[in-house]
Amino acid sequence: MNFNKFLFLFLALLAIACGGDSQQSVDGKTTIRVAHFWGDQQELWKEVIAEFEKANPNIKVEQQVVSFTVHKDKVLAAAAADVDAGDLILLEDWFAQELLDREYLTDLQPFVDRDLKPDQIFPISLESFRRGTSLRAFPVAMGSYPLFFNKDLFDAAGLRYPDSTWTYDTLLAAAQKLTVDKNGDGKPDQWGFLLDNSGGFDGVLYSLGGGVLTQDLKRSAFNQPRTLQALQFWVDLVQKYKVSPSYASIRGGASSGGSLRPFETGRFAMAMLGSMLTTYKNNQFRWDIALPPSGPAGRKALRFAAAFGIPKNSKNVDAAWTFLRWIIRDMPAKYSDRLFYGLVPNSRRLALSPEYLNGQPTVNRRVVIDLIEKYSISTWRARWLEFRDNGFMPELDLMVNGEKTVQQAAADADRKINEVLSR
Amino acid sequence: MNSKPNIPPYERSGFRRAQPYLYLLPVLIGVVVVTGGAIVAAFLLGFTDWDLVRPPVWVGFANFQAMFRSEQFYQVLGNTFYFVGITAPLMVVCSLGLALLVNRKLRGITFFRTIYFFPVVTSMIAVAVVWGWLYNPEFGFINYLLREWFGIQGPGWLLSTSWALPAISLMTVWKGVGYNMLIFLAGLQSIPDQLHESALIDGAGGARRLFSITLPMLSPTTFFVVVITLIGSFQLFEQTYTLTQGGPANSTLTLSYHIYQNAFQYFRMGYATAMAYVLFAITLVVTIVQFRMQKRWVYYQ
Amino acid sequence: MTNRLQSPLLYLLLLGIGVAMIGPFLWMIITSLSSPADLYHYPPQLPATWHPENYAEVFSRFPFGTFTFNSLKIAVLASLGTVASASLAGYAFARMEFRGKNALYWVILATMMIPFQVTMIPLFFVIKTLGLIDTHAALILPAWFGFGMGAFGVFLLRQFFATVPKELEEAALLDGAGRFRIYWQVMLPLARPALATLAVLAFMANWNDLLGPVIYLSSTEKMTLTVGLAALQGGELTARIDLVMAGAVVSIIPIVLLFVVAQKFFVKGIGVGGVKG
Repeated sequence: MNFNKFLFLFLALLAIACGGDSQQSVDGKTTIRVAHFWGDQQELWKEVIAEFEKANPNIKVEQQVVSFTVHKDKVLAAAAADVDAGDLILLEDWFAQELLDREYLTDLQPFVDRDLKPDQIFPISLESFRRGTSLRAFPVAMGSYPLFFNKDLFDAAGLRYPDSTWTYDTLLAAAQKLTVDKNGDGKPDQWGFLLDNSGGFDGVLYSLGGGVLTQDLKRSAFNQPRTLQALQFWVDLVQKYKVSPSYASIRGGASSGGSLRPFETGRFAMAMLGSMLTTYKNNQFRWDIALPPSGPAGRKALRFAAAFGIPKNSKNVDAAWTFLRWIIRDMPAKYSDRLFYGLVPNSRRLALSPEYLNGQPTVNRRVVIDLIEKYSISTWRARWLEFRDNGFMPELDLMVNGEKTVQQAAADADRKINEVLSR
Repeated sequence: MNSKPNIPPYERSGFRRAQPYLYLLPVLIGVVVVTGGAIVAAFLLGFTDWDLVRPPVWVGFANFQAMFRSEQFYQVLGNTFYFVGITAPLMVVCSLGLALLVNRKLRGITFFRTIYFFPVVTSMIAVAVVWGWLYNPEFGFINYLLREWFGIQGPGWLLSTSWALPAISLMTVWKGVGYNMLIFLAGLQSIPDQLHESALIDGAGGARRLFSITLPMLSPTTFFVVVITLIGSFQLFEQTYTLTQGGPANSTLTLSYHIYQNAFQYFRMGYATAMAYVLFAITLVVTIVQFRMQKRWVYYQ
Repeated sequence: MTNRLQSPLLYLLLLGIGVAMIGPFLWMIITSLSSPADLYHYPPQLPATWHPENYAEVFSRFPFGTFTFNSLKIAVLASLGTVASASLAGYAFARMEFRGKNALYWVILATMMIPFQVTMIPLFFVIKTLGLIDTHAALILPAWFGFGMGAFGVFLLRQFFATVPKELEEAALLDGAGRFRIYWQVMLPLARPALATLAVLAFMANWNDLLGPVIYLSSTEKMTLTVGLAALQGGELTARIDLVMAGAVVSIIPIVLLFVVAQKFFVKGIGVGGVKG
């Protein structure tokens, strides 16, 4: 091949690369883009969008789905370069809090005032998304941390299922009875409880009168005596009472199981886990959910949500809101179960519909609704991930592993959290 | 007019001097000007407080001061050196051995080469899930083998603060060994056959041919693999991201992952950039040392 | 030439390493053919029933054909670009003397030492300024200018060109060949194994690139297979691990095929064959 041929090839390739890329559809419709990370529900979203477009012929909705892990990277890169990242952006709580503080999102309060009555939604869900009088993101679904329990294991032990009368003492007593060494090798092969460091841990801390943060969310609560007691209880579950294996409590352990989420092995009688109910695919054993136990400070569980925000640089704010409003007010209930992974839709109509309440897997979904409305607390604030990942999680690992005393680890966690929060 | 016969016009002195730059032009524009520009821009960002959403604010050396005062930074730095120290030598030795092993004409050798390349192409998610299982302290295959064959109670691997980083290192070598094997293989294939043939005629044995012909002739490739492996090990990211997220107790938190955390999770792009410069400086110094030392052992034509 | 007794031992060794290397991949295939329920056995075991329809389901979850075409287009054109730009520069660095050679070489090497997260945003501005956002050119064009695998390639090929005996080149120069002809007709054929290696590795890097397409592209119809498959993970990595694995198997097939094809270039040039043991 001589040089001219090479040059020709080069130019031809460039022409292929650059051409044929622009396909603008100009048909008088407004096109909005919904950026989300629920990738395995794309087909369901497609059906929902088709229904919406039938009812709103002037609006076209496109999904823009990237994976959960890079979704926020895309949003941030777009924000940094002032590029359009989509008209409706799905946000996790911690990420939403950061964007809220930085005024990246449109105020939705006027739209809510105009279009939604308070009894159509769960007003409590909006609280953590407010800044002053503005509402910068709208939660479409929410969840909490109920007590998951394995009915088969309870039945085999002849124990009554957990109910609203339970305290943490009841939980411990039941967990002790449910921890069994079947093959007699000195190590239990069935555990009473599954220690999990995600939101369930916070609930225990707050119910026992301690907490991660003080009530104004401005400082660490790891220096409070009640928190120390609660931490001791948590560690004792592993070290003293031995009703939970320590490995399950550690983040590395939780994720390194990969497809194997511990509760789904059927070897754990109880766990406090996030209520993304439809993601529990197991059909090896019967299970249900109950209210978590109450402690000296009452019954408290963290509340979380999946919220949509509309960036300020969106050119289609009205159309984007129209779609959001349609989901809350008009979307057929048959989608309400799987669309949000079994989280409670922020719409009374949907949440109380038989389609949602009787969805698969069939567990007592009213428990979550109750938990959210009556007992849930929100501790979301900016820097959440940082004071957690690099503040107290490492200390919690050391505590549960027995590499540090509760006092020492709590003191270190206290200092690290405050260091992050004071910045 | 001043050109001598038989020397084409493009070999005239003016062109001759400019010619190398023509070969370099694409890379000069892309890597030197644009990436270089991006690096300079990033360098400036290291002196700002930038959350990616609002405009950056100039803060002088505050990021560097905060970094050098942070106890976590030193822990992360220590983890990084520890990881590089155990991973890079293991990686180079294993991949060279593997390349020598498959660099022969045997029936089905293509098949084996392909198999050895599989970990490289297997997606990180799958690798993380499988190795997560292998490393499970109670039910994992590795501890099972240790127990049944050697009667040893294996460590907690990814759940242990002292074993998690070596475990990630082992997995990294396993996943990357095929990559470097391929590069070594290309190097081995470039060694002219005549050299081996004349050595055979001289009666040199296998070991002598390895040490007096193969390894010296391969040394530029070895040098390349050593440098690339060191640079790559300093940037360990994907494995921790999928497997441990820095845990347990920050024992697998390394610089590159910490930079990512700060940039995209903690909204501290300025701080992350400052830290990236420390990583850059370390890598650069290590690479310069490598280049200085190559005169001692790398054989060029 | 090889001792005949060595062969069985050798095969045993090759096989042993092979098992360790291919294990996870086999597990991936088994998982991709399982039902979600089968996966929750502990310890893991072979599934009770096989579910090849998982693959059909993966294909139906996103525009599979379009995404594959996009991925192929980007990976092929970008890795060609990497090989072209890196081999030109590598040759210049290996065989030419010019001012600033050392400094330029170090600048190129240095670009490999900065974590991508830090230069990503400034580069995004460049792509935006060039008006390339949401075009495939944003992912292809940079490779022709040495982005991505470029620095790696320059370094790799410089090392290889440096091993080519100078006499071959001098002979061609005496015959009156120009520099470019030497590069094209002498050096490139000699460096075939290295070029094939670079092509495979560059293809792989582009094919597996997740962050690039995610950030530079926004229209769904322009996305790549890697983005589509990664999105399958949904809100929970573990939601449908069987489908995730089916997707992962699909995504590595092109790379494996390319690797097998590229092996052709690992066979020695004409006339100097011969078995070594």
